Order: sequence, then structure tokens, then C-alpha cells
Amino acid sequence: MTLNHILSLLESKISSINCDDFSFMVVKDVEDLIRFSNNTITVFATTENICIEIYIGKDKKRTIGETTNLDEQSISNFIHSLSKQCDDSSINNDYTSLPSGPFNYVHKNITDDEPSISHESMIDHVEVSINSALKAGASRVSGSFTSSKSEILLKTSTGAELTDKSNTHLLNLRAFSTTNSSGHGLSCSSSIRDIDSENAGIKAGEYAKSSINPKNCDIGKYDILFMPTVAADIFQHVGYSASAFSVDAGMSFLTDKINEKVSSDKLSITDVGNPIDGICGRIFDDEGMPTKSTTIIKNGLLKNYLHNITTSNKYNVESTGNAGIIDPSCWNLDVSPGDVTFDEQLLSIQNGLLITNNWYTRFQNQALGLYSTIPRDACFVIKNGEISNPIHNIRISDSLPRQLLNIKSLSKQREWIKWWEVEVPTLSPSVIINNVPITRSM
Amino acid sequence: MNSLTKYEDILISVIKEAQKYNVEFVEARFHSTWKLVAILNNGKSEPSISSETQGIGIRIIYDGVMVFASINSYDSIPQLIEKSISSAKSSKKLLKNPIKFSIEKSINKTWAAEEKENLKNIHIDEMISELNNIDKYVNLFSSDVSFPKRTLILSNSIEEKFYMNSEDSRILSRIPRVEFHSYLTAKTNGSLSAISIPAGYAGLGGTGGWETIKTFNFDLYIPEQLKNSSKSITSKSVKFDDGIDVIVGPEIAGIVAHESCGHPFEADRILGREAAQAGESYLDFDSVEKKFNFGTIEEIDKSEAFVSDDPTLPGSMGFYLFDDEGVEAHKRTLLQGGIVTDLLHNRETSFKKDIQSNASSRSVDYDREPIIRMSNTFIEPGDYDFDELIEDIKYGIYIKNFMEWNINDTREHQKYVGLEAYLIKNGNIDVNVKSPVLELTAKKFWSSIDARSKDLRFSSATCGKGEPMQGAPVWTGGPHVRLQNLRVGNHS
Repeated sequence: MTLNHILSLLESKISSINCDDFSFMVVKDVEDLIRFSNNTITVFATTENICIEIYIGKDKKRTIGETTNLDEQSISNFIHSLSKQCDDSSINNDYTSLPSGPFNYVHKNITDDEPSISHESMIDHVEVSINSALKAGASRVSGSFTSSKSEILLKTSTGAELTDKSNTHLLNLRAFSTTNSSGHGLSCSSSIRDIDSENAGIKAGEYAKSSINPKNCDIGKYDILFMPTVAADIFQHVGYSASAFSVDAGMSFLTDKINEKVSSDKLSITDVGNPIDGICGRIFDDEGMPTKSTTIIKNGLLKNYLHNITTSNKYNVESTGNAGIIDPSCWNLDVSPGDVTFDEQLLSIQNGLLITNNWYTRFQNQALGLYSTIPRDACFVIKNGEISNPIHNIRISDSLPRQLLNIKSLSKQREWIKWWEVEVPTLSPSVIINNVPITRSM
Repeated sequence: MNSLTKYEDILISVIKEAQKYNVEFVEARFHSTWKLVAILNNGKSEPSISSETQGIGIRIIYDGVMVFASINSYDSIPQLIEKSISSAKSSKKLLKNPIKFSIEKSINKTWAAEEKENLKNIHIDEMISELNNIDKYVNLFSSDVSFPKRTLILSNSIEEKFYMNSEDSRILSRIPRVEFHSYLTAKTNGSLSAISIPAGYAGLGGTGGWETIKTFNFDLYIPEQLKNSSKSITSKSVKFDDGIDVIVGPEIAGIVAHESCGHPFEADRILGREAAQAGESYLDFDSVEKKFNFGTIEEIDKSEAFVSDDPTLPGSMGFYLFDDEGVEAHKRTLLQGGIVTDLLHNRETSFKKDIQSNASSRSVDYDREPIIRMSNTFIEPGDYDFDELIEDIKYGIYIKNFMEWNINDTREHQKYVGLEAYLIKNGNIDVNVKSPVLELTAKKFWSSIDARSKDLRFSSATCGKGEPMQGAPVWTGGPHVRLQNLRVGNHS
């Protein structure tokens, strides 16, 4: 069944129910994934899924549905069940009708000559990354390479009929030395031409080799140089907190801070719906609004929350094109570059740490941004502007607002980050944050 | 009654189609999940969410290569299988260790979790009504602390699977589940604290029909949690000297059992299969064979470290009777008297150890491969009453539950920050303590237990692992556990 066939079927079925607003989204995802560990493949996974998402609004009541059951009778039953469910729901006076256009949509820069990647080519990329890491000093390598194509059709009761396509390629690997020191490398892009499996492998392998024989580190406060992988994790939590839903739910440290200083003047963060070289761009959101660039932080001041139609109506602002029907969320985060090189950042630290990767970020109090996260893979002491001995078994226990206000520098060079720990594609520089508390286990 | 029996012919055709390629093994799993979710945000109903996902997940071992494929449009299954065999052939050059499965007996069973009131008969208005009642409890709560932001979520789901493999196994299953989560922001003297009820971003949850919701006892549970959380939020932090006695409540005992015993005991992590994602383990197979333990020989004689994982607990979130490789489930004793006694295995890892699988393989949806998962992981109860646990403590702390926690990827170095916590003075519970911090190694925790209470309580949680990420329903649990001579910090 083609996507257009499904869309036609949905149109005919929805006409039999009474509603004030509706939208259909038909999404087709085709994804190939290679997972590998200890230099050998562990699974080759192929998924081909078509999913239907439906929104119905009537009498100030709303319901959302998702089904992967594609036979005609099931679709018909599902729509009628959703309609009944909407009737049974409660009235919400924040109800806002879907947006009426016409809108201008920026078309995507996916060229017809973008090559599709064969399974053989994916395997070659994995082989190159493993061999590069081994050559750089690793003894074993694990990771994954995902290549996916997505096609989305959206139709709304207010006249939007939209199509979007995207490609995503994510290579993520972790290299280990004979003594289990480790390094992380990644390469991610919407174009297979930009996947640099060799450099990702070299980086992971070199980190693994250079972090052999780590020492314990004294607890205390350090100026820390965070590589883009770690900085992206910090900034994605700014992105989550910028959702108007998170603010309404009390799960944001950015509550009631519009136009207030929330970070160092050096920091600006923008959510970009459809970045030219981004990974997961969309030209429209789930309500049919055009996506756009929305400034979250500009030179240290909080400028905007991210909105869908409902939250924008409550806040008396325009939608920022970030629906989610319930929860507006960021598409891609663009963190402004700084004016120094990585080497200059390194030279600026007399007694600090270099952290290349992290995981397991958890909050004690999301309203205040109190959290901790665990550095993972290679970490080093920085002495007098030079990388010194490797360290291990540390934890960052800090507050997100304090960290943002204590950003000392951002690098000129930036890198797209998306991997297991960083879900929001983020174009991030490396960042120095002053006086970061480090703790460790007894 | 399982609604998937009508898909038998499709599953048989998948097995037959794959066998045309002389595969070593093939399994097909028709997997459907029906779900209805009600959300109340600050007293207002958000859109209800309904989902009906279903499709087929297929695993094939061809020439030692494992391939997984999933699809929800069944007319192109032959092409998908052909493509998967082609992928396996292409992948051969990356294969260092051919994958094989332990030999397990064929199973022909239909099973279901007990369900008195069918969840599909429960309409969204009834679910919203439950949430409205909870919101009333919050609004009626009277103290210096108010709760201006409230997100309440109630979820009903039914997961059905029809499993078939090339070794003549044929298993139908049905698991209904009910789960509640809430996130609240407390305000006192202008200061904000975001908490969850239950604490630790956990849930109230169980397997069963709509009757399960009565076991949550919202009318007693919610006001009690509000009262206790409010006292904690308004309490003061305390600076402790090193080396005090600590009692942790069942919620912390459960998360420690899950994070620093269950996860590192997953055989696939030990073998490095999750190295680039959820991480590895402080264990290796050699140390397990040499009876890895958490203390000296003298300490082992009196060790109180006992941990089990049991998928057969009736009513539990992690309940199942056969895993997603068709192996019959039973209780696994992971840690006994501080000594590692068993690991969590699937058919791939058990083949490598020349043992039988202990049925730890689960998949959360049709488009996810089955991987090793915990079910209901808990510290076994002991023989103390709670009062007996604290009566000998002159100066210590009782940390009942937590919010923040994390652990390093080999599962040694962990941190738990308390939400509800109390000083213990001269054998009695004293004042509340704000955000005490336990930051310690697995060895320190497991070798410091000197007593466990009789009571055993569970929390509902979602365990994350795999790529793509799979959030699996589990219970974590334990009794009250006493630990000697720990360092307790406070949140800066």
C-alpha cells in the first residue's frame, strides 16, 4: 500500500465523523542498522514501518491516535474509536484550532543525486571505522551504524497538504585498549558523503590509547573543557527546558525567565527546524506550521520558549512551529560558535580537566536544574595549558543554571552530535565552564 | 482470548520462506500493543492518546550471522527475507565469531496474565476521573508547601505476542498492564522543587486488568506522599562525619539491585555487546566462574547480599512465563551471600557458556530485536522488623527514597540522592534531612549490608537498553536494608 493510498483512505474515513479539527500524518521509515562489538558484527537489522498518526478535535476536546495496523477495516475502526474517545474526553478551554494558512514552507535541500547507501557500503564504513580505531591503538571496537530514510505526508482539516523526506546516517563507536581504557568517536549527517568513518575510528582509537593507566582525581572544583559530545548533552537539556510544555509542567529551570539573563553573554542557542546541513530537519511541524529558526538564548538572555498552537495561545505569542500536539520539542539545536580555537581553549586552562564524553544525566530538581552526569571514556587533567595524565571514576555534580552562567569560552569549530545519549541533533562547539564540582564514590 | 491467532498463517509463511535459504534458525514474532493514556496537566485534560502498534519481528541466523527484520505491511515479507539473507551474506566479512543458540526444548503454549476487568472496556472518561480525584487530593493538601504544577499520567496497555520458530515452538501470550506516574512542582517561600510521586521518576504499576488500579490505594498513598515530600522539601541539609550507619528504603534497595546487580549480571553486557550503548560490566566470565564476591572470605560468611530476578511474580510489571526466544521462565538467584550465583542469559550467551538459557530475552515491540532484560529485580527480604533495624543505631540516617541517581557504564560507581530522609538518633527516627547523597562503589554497597527487614516492596520502572532504545517494564524492589559505616554527603 502506498502512502498516498493510505492518505486517500484516511480522507474517505474521516468524512464519516463529525469533528472541528483533524490531521493525519503518514510516516514511512526504512532503517538499516549494523551493530558490532569486539570487532565483529552482532546483528544486521532492517526495519520497514508505516505508521499513521491522527489528531481529532471537537467541542474543545482533543485526542491523538497512532496505529500501524494498515488494513482498511482496521483503519476505519480506529478512526471511529478515536472519535468516540474524543467524545468521552474532558473539555479543555485552552483548545486552539489548527492553524490556517496559507504558509510559506522552505523546501529542503535534499538533492536527487544524494546516493542511497547499499548494505555493502554500510559494511565497508563499519570495517573502515574498526580498522582505523585498531590502527590508532585500540584492541577492540564496538558500535553501531544506522542509515535511515523517512517520508512524511501531512494533511489537516485547515487545508495543509504537505510532504517531507529526510535521510539520516549515524556512526557511533567506542574503542577499548588492552587495559579497558576507552575512547568515543562519531560521525553523523543527512548525507552519506559526509560520514567520515575513518576519522571517527581514529579519534576513538587515539583516545583509548592515550587514556591508558588513568589515575584517581581529587574531588573539588575545576575549570573543565568539555568536548562537543558532552557540551551537546548539556545544551539538549536547555532545549528540553525551553519547551513551553516543560515550563507548564514545572519541569524547567527556565520558568518565568523570559528576557532574563540565564547564561554567559557568550552563549546563544537557536532551535532550527530545517538546517542546511542538519540531521533530522523537518519543513513543517505536526500541526502543519512551517518550522523555522527560533532563538532560545541570545547573548545570555532567554528570548523564547518553544511552542505549538495550544501553548502559543496560552502565552499569547506566535507558534514557533515545534508541535508535538501535546509537547512542543526542539528539532535541531545550533549553539553559537566562539572566537577561540580548541588549542587556545586548552592553553587558557592552568589547572583543569578535559572531558570527552559523558552519560547518565539525571536531575535531583528539574525546577532548579540540579543534576549530575558521569564522564565516560577518555578524561584528562589539564596542567599549564597541556593535556596531562588520564583520570577516571569521576562525576559532575552541578547545577545547569550555574554552568550556563559560568561559560568561559566556546570554540570556533563546531561538530554535529547525535548518539545514544544525545537525542537532539546539536551543532556544538567545545566549551569551557569554570568551577565545576567533581565528586567520586567512596 | 488472544487476538493474534488469525496471524498464524503469516507466521508459518515467514518460517517457510526463510527456510528456503537453508537458514540455521528462524523465528517470527507477531507483536501487538494496544495502549490508552490519560494526562491531566494542572487540572486540565491533555489530549488522550491511543495507540495500536502491531507488526512482525523476524530473526534469522544465516551462516553464523544474525539478522533481524521487522515489517507491518505483510505483502512484502518474501522481499524482506530475501533482503535480510543478502545482508547476512554481505556481513560475513565482518563476522569473527559465528552466532549459535543453545539447544532448548520446543514449547507449544498459550498463556496470559490474570485479568479480571478487561482494560479495553475502560473508557478514557473513567481514567480521567481517576486523575481528577488524585488532583483533588493534591489541591486539598494543606501545608506550607503548595503544588502549583501537576502532571498526572495514567496508562492502560495490553501486549500480545504470537511466537513461532523453526524448532516447532508456538507460543501465544497476553499481558495487560496499568501504570501511574506523576510529576509535581512544590512551592514554598518562593522556592521550587520538582518531584515525582512515586519518587525517583518511578511509577505505580502492575500486570492485570482494571482491578489493578485499586491496589494503588490513591486515597491513602497520595496524601501520605505529599505530606512526607513536603517535610523533606522544607528540611535542612546535614553535614555528616564519615562512617555512619545508613538504612535505605525499598525504593533505593530496588534501584541499587537493578542498577548495580541486575545490569552488570546481563551476560550480553559482560560479553561487550552493549559496549557502545548501555555499557559493560564489572564482571567477566572468568571471575564469575571463580565465584566473584563482594568481600573477604570472613565477610562472606556473614554477608547479607542476596539478590534475585523473578519474571514469574504474579501482578508484576516484569511478568512473563516464556521469553521472546520461547524459553520457559523461572526465578534467577543472582547474588547469594555476596557471591555471584547466576547471570541473565539468552540463547546466544548460554551457548557460549554451554548451559541452558534462563529465559531473559525480551523485546518491547515488533520492530525491536529480543535482548537480555531484567524482569523484577530485588534484594531478598531478611528477618528483621524495621524497629529492630534502627534500635542499635546511635547516630545515622534513614534514606527512604530518592530523585537523582546514576551509575557508570561498568556499573561500579553509583550515586543516589535522597528525597525523603531522616536522622536516626539513639535508635529513633528524628528530623527530616534534605537531599543526603550516597556516592559509593558496588563493592562498598554490597559488602556493607549487615541486616535486612522482613518487608518486601516493589516500584514500577522502565529499564532502558539496546539500540534502538528499548524501554522495558520492570519492577525494582527490596526490603529496608541497613548498611554499616558509609560516607553520606549533601547536595551542594
